Amino acid sequence: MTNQTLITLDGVGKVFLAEEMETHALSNINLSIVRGEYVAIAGPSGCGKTTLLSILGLLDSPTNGSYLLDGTPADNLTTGQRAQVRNEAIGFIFQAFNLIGDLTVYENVELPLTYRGTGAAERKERVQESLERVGLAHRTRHYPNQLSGGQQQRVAVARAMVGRPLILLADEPTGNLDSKSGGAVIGLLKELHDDGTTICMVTHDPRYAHVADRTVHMFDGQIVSEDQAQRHALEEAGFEVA
Amino acid sequence: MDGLARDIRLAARRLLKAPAFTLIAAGTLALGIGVNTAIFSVVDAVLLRDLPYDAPDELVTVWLDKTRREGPEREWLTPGDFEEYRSAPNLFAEIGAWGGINPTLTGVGEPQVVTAAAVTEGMFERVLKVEPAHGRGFLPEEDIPGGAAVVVLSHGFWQRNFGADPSVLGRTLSLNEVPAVVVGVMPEGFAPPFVPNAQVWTPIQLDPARCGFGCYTIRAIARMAPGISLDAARLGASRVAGRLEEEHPAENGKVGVSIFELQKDLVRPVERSLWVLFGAVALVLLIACTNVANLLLARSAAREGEFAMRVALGAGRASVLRQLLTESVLLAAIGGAAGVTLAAWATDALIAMAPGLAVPGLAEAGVDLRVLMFTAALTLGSGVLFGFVPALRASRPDIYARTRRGGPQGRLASSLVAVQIAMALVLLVGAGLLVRSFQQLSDAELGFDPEGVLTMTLALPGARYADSDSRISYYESLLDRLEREPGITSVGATSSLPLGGTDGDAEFRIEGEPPPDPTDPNKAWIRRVTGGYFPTVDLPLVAGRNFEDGDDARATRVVIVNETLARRYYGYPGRDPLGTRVTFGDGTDPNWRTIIGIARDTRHFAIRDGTRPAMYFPYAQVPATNMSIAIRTAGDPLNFAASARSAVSAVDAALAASTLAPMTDLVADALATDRFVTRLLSAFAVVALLLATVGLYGVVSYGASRRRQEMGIRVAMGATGRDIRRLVVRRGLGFALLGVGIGVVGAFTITGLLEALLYDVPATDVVTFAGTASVLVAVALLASWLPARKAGRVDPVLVLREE
Repeated sequence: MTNQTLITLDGVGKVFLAEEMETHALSNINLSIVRGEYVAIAGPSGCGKTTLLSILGLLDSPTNGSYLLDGTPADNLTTGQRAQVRNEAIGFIFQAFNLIGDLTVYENVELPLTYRGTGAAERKERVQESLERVGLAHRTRHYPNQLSGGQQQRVAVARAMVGRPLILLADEPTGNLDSKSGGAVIGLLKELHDDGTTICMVTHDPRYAHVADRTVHMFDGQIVSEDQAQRHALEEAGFEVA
Repeated sequence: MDGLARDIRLAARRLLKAPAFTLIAAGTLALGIGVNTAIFSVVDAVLLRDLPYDAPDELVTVWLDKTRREGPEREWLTPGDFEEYRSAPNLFAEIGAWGGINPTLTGVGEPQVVTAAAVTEGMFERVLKVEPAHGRGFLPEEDIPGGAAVVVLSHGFWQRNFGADPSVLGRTLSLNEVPAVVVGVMPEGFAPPFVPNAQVWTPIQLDPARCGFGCYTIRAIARMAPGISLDAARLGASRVAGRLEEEHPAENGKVGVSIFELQKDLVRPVERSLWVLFGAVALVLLIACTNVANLLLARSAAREGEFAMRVALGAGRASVLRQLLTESVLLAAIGGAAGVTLAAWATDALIAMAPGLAVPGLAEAGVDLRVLMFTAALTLGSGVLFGFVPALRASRPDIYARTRRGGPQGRLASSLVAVQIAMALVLLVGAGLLVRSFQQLSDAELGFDPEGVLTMTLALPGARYADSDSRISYYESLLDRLEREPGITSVGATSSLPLGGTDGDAEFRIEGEPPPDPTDPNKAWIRRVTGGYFPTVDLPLVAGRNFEDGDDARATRVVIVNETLARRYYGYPGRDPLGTRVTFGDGTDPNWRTIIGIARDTRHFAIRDGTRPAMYFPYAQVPATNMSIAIRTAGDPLNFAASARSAVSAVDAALAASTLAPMTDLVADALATDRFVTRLLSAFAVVALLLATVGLYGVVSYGASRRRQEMGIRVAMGATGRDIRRLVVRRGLGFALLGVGIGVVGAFTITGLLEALLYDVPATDVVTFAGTASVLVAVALLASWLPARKAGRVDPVLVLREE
């Protein structure tokens, strides 16, 4: 491992208990992401992509295995420490945008900085910068429901970026968008990556997965090879595979 | 019609399907409607319902107005005044006088003191227009000095003592050992506006020649001629008063006449209190309606999909509105029905809470048809009130688009909660002010110590105790006997117990000083006491000495004055009244009395009233037939009641004590109205606080649950549980502070109405306002903390996945 490695998952598993039934959402995940890398996590619905992203984003904890974020073990962090790491090191982009309806565009983008205790002047400067980056600096006073889906997702990208996180975690960022808007958002993420941002994006859309430097394929809670992934895809499509 | 029936069926089905919601909402409404119905039943019985006499609007009270003499606006009449008003042509259709008496009845079982009234002839038949059920009323020839002793019985007294025997007419009763023939029995339920619990009535037999314009001994009720307005009656009466001022300048100079509607005059002591309580329960109902409106808002938010579907299927706004209003009115009807049951119980509780509160009609208060009609209107009104806004929102034509679009929610609910808190604050401030006022009244320096003192009143029959010696002898024997009882530490007698409701005043002059202006005489309230009275009630002398055994009829006439008299007429302590002499009337009375002591002031008429000048005469020099006995005991005074009774009959077997009660009862009775209003308003304020707290909790809780996704997003952005809790609490506190702000302004405006009910507390008392606001903020904090704690534990993975 070099100091270029930002994320290291070693043998991570996640088991959900529901009505005394164990469901293995993730099994033996080994994954490294280096700084500046653009990783796509692809796979069919229910394969564990979002669970993996939740663990990477410290929204959830693995049942077993270890997780190093920027060289620091993330397994034994307290709730408060996890919140602090989420706030400072991670930027989230969700499929459903997840903007807060009662807050303006400006306030939505400002949100991570308020939890960090950033001063008002700096907050203003960074929010403005972020919104300019996504081309929505003129919409600061609008509410989310006054924007189109594509615009809302760009606001979400600005919010994810405003804290200058170590990594952007994007969960199906185009899932709720038409192809044009989806393309624009992917283009935006590409620009960010080109500027050095580390991105980990969950997607089941092969068009967008190919934009990434590397695609990690998942099936039934495990990382599988690209060949295996293609085999599973054919099987799912009803073809017999030798 | 068919549509309405379908709406009702559907509404009933929906309410049944949500039993928790129905129970909470209907229960809240039942509470609000119940207390309103209960208070309305009292307001209706006491304030709104006509007095049970023919043409009650024609009945008025007649008083002397002594305000120009710095006296009361409602002074009793003298027999002389009464005769003048009675004989004035075209003034009143009828006028009658009355006075309260408590004669001892003998010959019917054990001797007993009965509550009675002496009235002028025609008081029943022509003034009140109530005919006796049996026999007759008094004849003119019976109502003159020396007229035949006759008596009219109340229906209850007749039933209890004579088994409703019609042959009671013509029988002779002994009242104060004077034989009186029963001439009539009043109808069942008859309660005159004066001494409503009187058991017997006798003719008053006024003697203006004996006690003309000097004795303020009677009160009067008149019936105005039909068509004569109150103003016209006042004008006519004031002409008579003007003439009397000229004819009797000493007694009637600067004395006017006050005429008031009888009903208003009777309820005057409680009218404002009852309206205040009625206002308070109206606020409680509004708070309850707000709670239910918020519940409905939450429910209709959850049912937006259903309404959107109805609109999509072509339902018009009116039909959605009607369906929702049917639900709310049905809900109100359930609440109303439960409220009536609650009210029936609460009304009884209200009446039971008001012992010592002499209010006409109060005992008759109950849930009757009128009250039920009020409740029905209230229920319908409540149903529309709390149901209309949620229904209006839910039936908006853009519901379909709105449910798809989403957007900010809950502002209306938040505003309602703020209003609710404001109303609760107004009630709490009102209750707080009354509690503080009541505390001041309870802590007021009475000037005597009623604890451990038993009191009773005796009326010696004038015929057998005609001379001074026999009266003095009886009371001396009684006091001696009582004093020897184990556990009794001291005894004393007085003609007028403090806060006992009886007293009489007289004009006096000070030796060596010029006679006072007849229109501004020196006046003192006169009490006859034995020497043991002062130590028994712990009423200390601040100067001079107490009465001694030697202060009898043969000794120098002496008197003890109170501090107020010493200050007002002597400038005490600058000038010492001790050793100076006073006499009564115009100064021609040769019986000068030397002031030998100054007693501490006591609250004699009411705890609120300032002390008036008073003089204490030694009983042995001015004996009377009617005296109250004060007995200081070493334990619970009521434990000595039997000893006191047996002492009375041991000295004279034909006598009985009346109003045997601890002296603390006098104080309690004096505080009865204040206690009643304070307790009720406090109870309503607590209910309002609870409802507002539940309302706030509900809205914050519901708001937090609707914002779960937002909380999840915030957690994803780095918010800690503390940040989330703070967010929820801040929201709750925001409503509360807004409500407190509105409430403080409202309370400043409204508490002025309470001013007349407050004692020694300003209506804008800063302590009460600040304390109440703090309580509300603290409660709001608690009500917000519980949902905040839950929100702080939000699992972002779960809520974001729900999306």
